Amino acid sequence: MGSLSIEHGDNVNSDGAPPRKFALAVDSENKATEFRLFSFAAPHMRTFHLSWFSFFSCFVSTFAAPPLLPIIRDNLNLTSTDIGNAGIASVSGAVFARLVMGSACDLVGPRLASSSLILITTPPVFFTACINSPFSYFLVRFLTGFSLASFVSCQFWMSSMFNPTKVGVANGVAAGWGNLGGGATQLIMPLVFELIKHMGSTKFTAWRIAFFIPGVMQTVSALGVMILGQDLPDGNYRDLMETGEKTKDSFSRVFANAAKNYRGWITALCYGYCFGVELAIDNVIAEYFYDRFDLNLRTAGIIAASFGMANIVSRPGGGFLSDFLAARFGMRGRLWGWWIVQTLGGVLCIWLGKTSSLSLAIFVMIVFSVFVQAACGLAFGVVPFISRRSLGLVSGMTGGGGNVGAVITQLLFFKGTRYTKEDGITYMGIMILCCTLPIMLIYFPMWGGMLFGPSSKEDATEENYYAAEWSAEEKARGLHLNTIKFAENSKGERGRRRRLAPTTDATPSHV
Amino acid sequence: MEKISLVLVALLLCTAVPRPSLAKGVSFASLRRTLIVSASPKQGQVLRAGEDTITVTWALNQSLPAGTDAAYKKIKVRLCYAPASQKDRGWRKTKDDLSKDKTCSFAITAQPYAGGDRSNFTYLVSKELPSGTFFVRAYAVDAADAELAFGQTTNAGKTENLFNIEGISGHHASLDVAAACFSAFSILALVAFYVQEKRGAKKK
Repeated sequence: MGSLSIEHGDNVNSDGAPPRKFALAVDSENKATEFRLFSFAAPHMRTFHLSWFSFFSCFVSTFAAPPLLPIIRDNLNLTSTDIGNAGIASVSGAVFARLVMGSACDLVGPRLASSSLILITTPPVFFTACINSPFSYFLVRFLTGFSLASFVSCQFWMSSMFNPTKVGVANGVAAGWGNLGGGATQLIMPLVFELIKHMGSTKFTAWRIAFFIPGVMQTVSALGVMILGQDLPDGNYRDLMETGEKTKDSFSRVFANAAKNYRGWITALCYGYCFGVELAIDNVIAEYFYDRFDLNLRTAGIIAASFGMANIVSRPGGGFLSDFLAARFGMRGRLWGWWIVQTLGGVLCIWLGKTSSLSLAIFVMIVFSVFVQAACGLAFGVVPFISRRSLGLVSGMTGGGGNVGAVITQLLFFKGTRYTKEDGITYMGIMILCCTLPIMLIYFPMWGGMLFGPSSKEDATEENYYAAEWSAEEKARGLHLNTIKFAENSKGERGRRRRLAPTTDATPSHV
Repeated sequence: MEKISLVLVALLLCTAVPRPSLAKGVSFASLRRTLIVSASPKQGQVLRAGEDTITVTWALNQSLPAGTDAAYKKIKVRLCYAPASQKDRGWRKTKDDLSKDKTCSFAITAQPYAGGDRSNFTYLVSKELPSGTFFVRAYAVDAADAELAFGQTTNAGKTENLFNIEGISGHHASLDVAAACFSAFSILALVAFYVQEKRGAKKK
């Protein structure tokens, strides 16, 4: 994230003016050290609400079509292949876009980056009302899906506004409530459709009009972000860059640093099998219940919605669990927790595909959703520690990896009619089990990994790990000093037993 | 938290109790083709939803022994997908178990069985119908609504005498205009903000 390069010993502005007052308690970087969910106080909590709600509206738009597919597929004469392709397209745009967002946040700030993306992706939502062929359906779902890159700006923004002790909660709730959009849309769209049909439209017109709701939601939330949002507690990037409080890092160095770190690649793969699975299910679950259990559109939508709605508590719960395990067992606890929860998610997925009784299917689906979403929360309990210098890009890689997982699973199991949906779900569960194993390969020298404890070598310290992200020449210029502060704060990842052990300072913490 | 766990466990137990499986529907292969059904559309004709009509005529095949139709109480006439419209569309699949079969998803009419006489019905092609290739089938059902026999306008392989329906698009020019206006507003708002940001920067 690499923001401030000047150490603020106390809350004094660079021009010597008296310290700014914030509604919440803050640390030396003016990041909030408390998280008050029902407050809208500027800038911290207001940013939180603007951020999660705009991300939520992107999810609503991206998954607005699936609950109405039984109508749309008849109107546009779609085949299973057409539907599968569009489902894949809806999540593939964001693979690349999430990488770009990480860099964009660094360059222009999360406020401009996210509101630009969200406004640019509203036309495809509105024009969904005008489509007339399988290709145009494919196109609008592809273009709308780019908006899911707002995940990265959301997480980046929370990391800018909240102190490390609260960033887990802020990230978990923001991401969870954003992902909620995938569930809420399964309720909203059929409801809006029924209302419009009730007012006299034929069903082939009603679904088209319904798409204006997510479109307007998206536009309004982006305007809110643009007008009311603020990049950092101290102000917007543009203002801070002029006063010199914020400096820029080199994009190519940040990129190389992220690419070299194997852990980022592993989290990218494994996130594909919690978040990616969540996206795949968002795309198929309503149709699954409609077709397999012969329910009407609204009932299928309600059941499908409960999958995404679990996000209200399950993803934040995963974040909490990660922090809880870390307090006792350090990073090893975080990794074990993630692996166990995600593996159980895979088992439940297999079971869901095998269930032919409606009430049992609903029950298994809900438990499955809790585990798979908690795994997402646990994943982002590990990600912030992988890199300090390239936090934005590693978050973007992991986020992008989530979408890659969604693309792959839909390509393999939910395209065309090769597998029935229930078999596809079961095979997806088996794939979750296999692709979660790489978590065992993540190893931090100073904290250990799932299978091995921390290295006993003297230079296995937090400072060395994070300082190694900078070259000798950069270190000589003192560019790595903020990282050292973070390294200090991250010693909590050693777990309860080792926290009191003295650390060897290979580099001085300040010049 | 405890209450929730209790509810979940109770739910799990209820659903785990083995239930008698739902009664299977009648097998299509077991039905005899005793009705002669014909419909007004010719092979390959295209009918427009909301505008054109289909006139269906049905009667018992007179060459069958007397008493074949003893149990027939009602005739259900339905519009059915031809194989071309079922291809790569799992939700329209033909299954032998009629309670699971999705071939004939649209009802044309249901009328009491009129003995050996010819009956007919004129049906306005509904605006709710999708585009596709179709044929007409009539089922003879008993008092318990179980199928006993059938008749259809096509042959057993469903290759002859099929007609097409062109569904409405549901698309109106007003939607185009509305979409264009809302989109233009979004893009213009974005441009306006960028201009304002640049101006604010210049001032400082």
